[in-house]
Amino acid sequence: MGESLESNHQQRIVLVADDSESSRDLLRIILQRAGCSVVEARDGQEALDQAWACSPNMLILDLNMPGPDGYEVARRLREMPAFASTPILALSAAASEANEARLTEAGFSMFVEKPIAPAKLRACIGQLLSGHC
Amino acid sequence: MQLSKYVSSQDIQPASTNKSDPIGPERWLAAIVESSDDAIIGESLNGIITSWNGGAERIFGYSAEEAIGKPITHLAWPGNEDQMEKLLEAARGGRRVDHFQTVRRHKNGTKVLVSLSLFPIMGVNGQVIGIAKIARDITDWVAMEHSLSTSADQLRSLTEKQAQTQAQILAERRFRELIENAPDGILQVDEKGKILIANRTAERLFGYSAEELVGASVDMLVPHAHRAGHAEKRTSFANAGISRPMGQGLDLYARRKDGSEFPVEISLSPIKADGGTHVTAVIRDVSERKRIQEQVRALQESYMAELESRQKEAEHSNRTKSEFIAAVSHELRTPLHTIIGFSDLLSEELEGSLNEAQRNFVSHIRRDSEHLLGLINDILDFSRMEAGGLHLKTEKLTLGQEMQEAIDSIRPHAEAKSVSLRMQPPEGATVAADSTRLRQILYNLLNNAVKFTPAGGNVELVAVEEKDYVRITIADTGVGIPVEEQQRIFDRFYQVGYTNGGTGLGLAICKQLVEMQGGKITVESQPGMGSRFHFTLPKTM
Repeated sequence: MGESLESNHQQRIVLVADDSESSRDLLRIILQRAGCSVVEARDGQEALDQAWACSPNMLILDLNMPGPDGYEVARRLREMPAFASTPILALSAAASEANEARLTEAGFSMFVEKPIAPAKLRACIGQLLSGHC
Repeated sequence: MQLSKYVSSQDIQPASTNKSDPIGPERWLAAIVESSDDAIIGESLNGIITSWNGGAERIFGYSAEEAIGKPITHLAWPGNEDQMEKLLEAARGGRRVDHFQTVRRHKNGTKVLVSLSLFPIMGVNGQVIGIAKIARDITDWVAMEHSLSTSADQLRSLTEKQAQTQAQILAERRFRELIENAPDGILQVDEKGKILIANRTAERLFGYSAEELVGASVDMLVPHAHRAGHAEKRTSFANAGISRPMGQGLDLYARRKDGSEFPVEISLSPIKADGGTHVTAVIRDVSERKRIQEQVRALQESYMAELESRQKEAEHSNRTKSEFIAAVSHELRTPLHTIIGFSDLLSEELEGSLNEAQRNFVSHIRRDSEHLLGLINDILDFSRMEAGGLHLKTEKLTLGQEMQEAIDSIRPHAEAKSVSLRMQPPEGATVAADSTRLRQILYNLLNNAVKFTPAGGNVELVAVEEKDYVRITIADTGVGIPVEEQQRIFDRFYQVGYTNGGTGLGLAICKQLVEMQGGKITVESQPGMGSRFHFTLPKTM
C-alpha cells in the first residue's frame, strides 16, 4: 500500500545520515519500500564524503550526530553549488529542540519529528522529490 | 541698815589699841565702795544721784561734787531717756536689773558702753527707799569682742579661701592627671608649629620625653614624605577655626624618635590663646585596629573566594547533571524511536498481513513504547525546567486551533475507551503562549481526563474569555480526586490513587509551564462526580 515513486521518476538516491543503526535500518526499509535506493552515513563527516561521492537527489539528516551535526552538514552542503537546491530533510528528536528559524537558516527544506511515522515520512519525501519544498 | 551683815565685828576691831581712832562699819564699807573700779551710784526714787564713787568719776568723768544732787538723766545718751526711766521704774517696783548692756554719755560727750545692775534699797519697813546702781565700763570689752569677732571672720574667710585654693589645686591636678593619662596622645601646638604641651601618652607613642617634645617643632613627628605640605595645612586649619578630624579618609602616619612610622587617627581643635590660635591635637595609635581590619578584610576575601568557588562548583555540578540527563535521555529515546517506527511498519502490514492476535501485540508494543517515550520526555523537560534551561517561544496563537489539534490528538485514546469528547472554543480568541508547550499542557490534561473517566463518561474542553486572560477548562465525569489530595496533585512525583506507572511529573510540568507563561492552574473535584482542571493564559504578551 505504500506509494512507489518508481512509476513517476527514475530511481532516486537518498542519503541517510544517522548515528543510530536502528534508525538507519528503519529509514532504509521505508525508503526502499518506496522505491528509492539508499546510501547510509554513520556521522556528519561520512555524510559529507558520501554526498560528494554519489550526488544523492535528497538527504535525510539526523540533527543530533557526532562530528559535524545535522545543521553543520546542511550548511556546508548549501555552500556547494552542486547541492544548492537539493532537498534536505531534518530528523529531530523532539520539537522543542528544533528551532524552525535555525533549521531554515541552516538550509533545511523540511523537518520531521522522531519517532518517525512511516506514512508521514513517505508523504514528505514525495513532496520534496516532486519539487514541492 | 544692818551693817553687821556685811562686816564682821571682828574686822571692825583694829589691831591698834588706839581707842580714839576706831573705824566704824560705815567707813569699811565706804572704803570698799570707793575702791571699786566699777561705778557705784546711789539714786533717790526720783532719779537724783545721792552717792557717786571713784569708779563713777572715772567712768563718767563727773566728780562727786558735780554729780551728787543732779538727775541721773545727765548721763543719758541722746534718745535713751525713756530707757533710763524704765530702769528706775523697775527698781522702784522692787525688781533687780542684772547686767543690762546699754550706752551712757561721758562728761566729754563720748559714748560709754556699760553693763548696768540696779538694786532697790529697802527701808526698815520693807519699802523701797532708794536705788543702788553698779555700772561696769564694757567699752573695751565690747571693742575687744568686736575685734575678736572680726578676727574670727577674717580667719574664717582665710580658711575658706584656703579651702578654695586647695580645691582649685586639686581640680587642676585632676585635669592634669586626666590629660597626662589620656588613652590618646595629646599635643598642643602654636601657630608656628611649636609644641607647647605634650602628655605622657604622647611621650610613649612617639618615644620622646616631654622635655624633648615641648619646644620642638611638630613637624619632627610627621613622616618625611608629608612634611612639605604640613605647615600650610596647619595654617589653613587655624584660620578655619573648627574642630575636625585630620586628613579625613586618608591613611595618616606619624614618625617616632627612632624613625619608625605608625598609623594614626588625629582629631584637631583650635583654641584662641595668647593673641593667636593654638591647635590641640589628639593622636590615636591605630596600628592594632589596622591590623585587625586587615585581618577582617583578608578573611572576607577568602570567604568571597570560597563562596565563588563553591558557587562555581554547584553550577558545574548542575550543568554536569543537566548534561548527564540530556545525554541519557537521548540514549534512551533513540532506540524507542525505532521501536515505534518498526511497530508502525508492522501495523501497515506491507510485509504481510497480521492476524488479530499479532495486531494486538503490535498495538501493545506501540502503546508502551509511546508511554515510555512520554516518561523520558517528561524527565528531560523537568530537569531542564529545574536547571532554568527551558526556553519558551511565546507567540500569538489562535486558541481555537490549538484546542482542535489537542482534541484530535486525544481522540484515538478517548474512542478506545468509549469516552465522548466535546469542545467549546472561544470565538477568535488569541493567547500569548508557546504553541508546543500549550499543546503539551492540553494533551497532558486531556489524557488524564480520559484516563480517569470510565466508559460512557465524557470529557469537555472549554475556553472562556476574561478581561486580560483566557480561562481554559478540562472537565471530566471521572472518578474525581479526594479533597486532601487536591492540594498536592501539582507537586512533583505525587501520584493520585492508583499509580499508572507514570513518573508523577505530568501535572508538575503542566504547572511549571502554565506559570512560566504567566498563568495559574487550579483544580475542582468531587470524588465520584468528576474533576475540572482550570488554567489561565494571558491574552497578550
